[in-house]
Amino acid sequence: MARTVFDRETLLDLTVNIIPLGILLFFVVLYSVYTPFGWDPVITTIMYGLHVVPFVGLAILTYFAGRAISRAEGEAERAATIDDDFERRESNGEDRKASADVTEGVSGDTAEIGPENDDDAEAGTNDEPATGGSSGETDTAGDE
Amino acid sequence: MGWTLAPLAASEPSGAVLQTGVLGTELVVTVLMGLFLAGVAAWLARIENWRSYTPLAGGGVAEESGYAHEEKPGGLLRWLTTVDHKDIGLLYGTYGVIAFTVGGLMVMLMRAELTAPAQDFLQASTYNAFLTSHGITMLFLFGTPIIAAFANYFIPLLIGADDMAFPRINAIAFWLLPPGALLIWAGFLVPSLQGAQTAWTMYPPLSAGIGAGTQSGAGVDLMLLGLHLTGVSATMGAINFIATIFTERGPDVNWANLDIFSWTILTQSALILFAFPLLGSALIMLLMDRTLGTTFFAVQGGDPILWQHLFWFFGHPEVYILFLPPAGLISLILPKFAGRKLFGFKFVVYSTLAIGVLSFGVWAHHMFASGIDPRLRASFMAVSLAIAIPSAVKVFNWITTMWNGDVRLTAPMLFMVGTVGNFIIGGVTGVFLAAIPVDLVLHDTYYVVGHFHYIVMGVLGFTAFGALYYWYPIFTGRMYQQRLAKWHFWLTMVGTNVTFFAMLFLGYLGMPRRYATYDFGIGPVNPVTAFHQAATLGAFVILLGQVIWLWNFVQSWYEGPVVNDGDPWNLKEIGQFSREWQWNERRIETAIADGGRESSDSRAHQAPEEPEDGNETEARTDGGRDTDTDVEATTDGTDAAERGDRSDES
Repeated sequence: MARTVFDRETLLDLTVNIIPLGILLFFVVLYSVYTPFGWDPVITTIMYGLHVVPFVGLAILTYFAGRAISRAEGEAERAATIDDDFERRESNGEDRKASADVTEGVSGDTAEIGPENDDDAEAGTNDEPATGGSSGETDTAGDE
Repeated sequence: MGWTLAPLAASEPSGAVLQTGVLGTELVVTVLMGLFLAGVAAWLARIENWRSYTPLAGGGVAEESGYAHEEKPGGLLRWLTTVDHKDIGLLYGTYGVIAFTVGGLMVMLMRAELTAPAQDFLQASTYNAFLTSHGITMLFLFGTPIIAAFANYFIPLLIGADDMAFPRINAIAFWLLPPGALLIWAGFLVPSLQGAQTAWTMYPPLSAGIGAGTQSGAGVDLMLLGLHLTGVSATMGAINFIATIFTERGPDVNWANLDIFSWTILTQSALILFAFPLLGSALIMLLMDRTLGTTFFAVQGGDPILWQHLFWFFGHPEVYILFLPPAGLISLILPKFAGRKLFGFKFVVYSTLAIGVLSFGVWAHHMFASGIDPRLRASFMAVSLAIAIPSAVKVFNWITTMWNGDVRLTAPMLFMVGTVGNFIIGGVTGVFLAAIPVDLVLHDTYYVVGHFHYIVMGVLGFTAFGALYYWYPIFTGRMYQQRLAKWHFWLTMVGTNVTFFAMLFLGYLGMPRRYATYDFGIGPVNPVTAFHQAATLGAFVILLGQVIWLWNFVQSWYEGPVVNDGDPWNLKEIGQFSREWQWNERRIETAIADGGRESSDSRAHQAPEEPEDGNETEARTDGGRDTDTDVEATTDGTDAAERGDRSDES
């Protein structure tokens, strides 16, 4: 499940927040290695706390935001696919009826299977553009 | 308060006179009470349907909503009782414009005083009071409310909600603001009170009224109370926005396609929720120090640095409270006139969230010069440098969005592009200040003033103007005068950069901030004078621009050409006909279908505005078309709107 939510695209989007996390990590390491002002149990703990708390807070928020957006995208894509299928079946139903009228005399099996096979073939080729298109439109809507 | 009983005792009347006086007073009170009750009865009689003003007690789900009022009351009563998010948005906007005018006029007087080194026409105390009030007015009475104006009006439209989640709390949040402003300005409104001279940061021991005692007057107390009220208002509004965006989204709006302005308002509301209550607590502590003798921030027993920590733990998120929604407005509006969708939409969303979190980890970079432990300073420097990344990401995304785009330089777009330029200067100077060694040199100089004014004026002010122009056809139904709008932009852009760039140089020259004069007798007085004069010149250029804006804004509202085109910015062509414009189009079409708006005849004489170029809106009158055409257009338009909805859904 986690693999499907945090796919390559999502992880790429999240890099924008990984960079500040990296900067914080860099300073934690730097201040651990280089301590010109010495070590003090209270002050040093607060110092690290001031790095760690934003780091953890940002990591948690990034995780949940990424998960929420990714899931919403997945649901929208599934819904769009179902809608497309539904519309296609509806329109194909009309086509079938029309083609059945035209192909009177041809055996019923041929009349029915033919267009449906075509449909499947179309669905096979159209599915991806439909999904891609819908995700593209999702982006557009989001951009607004 | 320093009241004395001596004058009262000296003028004590005799017994009979006293009795007559008491009777007269009682009579007056009785008459006033009678008038008040009559007024209440008259008001109650105006309310025809009680249920429309009272939510159902039993939680009836299937029945009509308690908010389904039949008609808005008319006149002033409408504005006093409204819970409609659009009306409240307009109220916030009006309030913000008034505050902007007050704060702007204050600073014009200050800039005029600073034209020459010596003290000329403002007393130092008056200058200090203006300085304090200018800061608080612009941040709390203009900045936050003008953002709330856009958010109230447009967030429900953008997310497909009927209204805010809590409409009445929305109204309460607004109505806390006017008394807040009166309290903050009380030092100027009541002659016997002295205006607060604490600066907007209110550092003790000065603000605690200790020392020379110049700040022990009630003016400071009232200002603190007013500030507290505006904080309560902002918190109530923030809760409302969070609830609205989480629970009131339309069925086709999810986290993946939520618009960027809503994302920024959501983040800003979260910041307000965590930051403003802390300010409220700190203000109460300061008031107790002033009035009850507590020692929270006293040198003996308490710690003045504690105030700085508490204040800036609120204060730096406040910077992003004022920055994030304008950044959202840029991300929303700029693509509309670049002909491309926003580059890296999700980058912008995640970076907004990152800024929200990290903004709570940088507060003490305002305190590098206060003597706190160097190890702690180092931590705050690290987080301050880290927060520059998500801010810079936004800039790159905006620039990339425009790159190779079909850029249309309308007034809203000019303001958005200008904002990007201003933000680069304001942001880069901020990165310099985040470095401890640089900050120790430039702290408390005009460099800091220039830096943050590039953000508050150069970003917040600019995006507010841009958004006002962009949505002008929606909230007025008319189109502004485009030539004046461009004059407004160029004067504001030039004035802003002349003023605030001069301040950066003043900072390099060591000019300290918050001084009414600079006739120091030592140092580079001549170049300082020259840069101060440049800053004053720029400020007057800004003022001229704003006068043009105010004229254009008000005059066009009354007499501008009516916009009957639901898509005045031609957003359908580029596939960015967003929900608020779809709503506007449906509203226009519904109005036409109803037929015969009485005002349409009177508006019909308005000459259609000639677009200056092909990119501008073509505002048309609705006169002269026959009914059939109208009906047909309506039907087609509705279909188009539905198609727009569906394409958005998918």
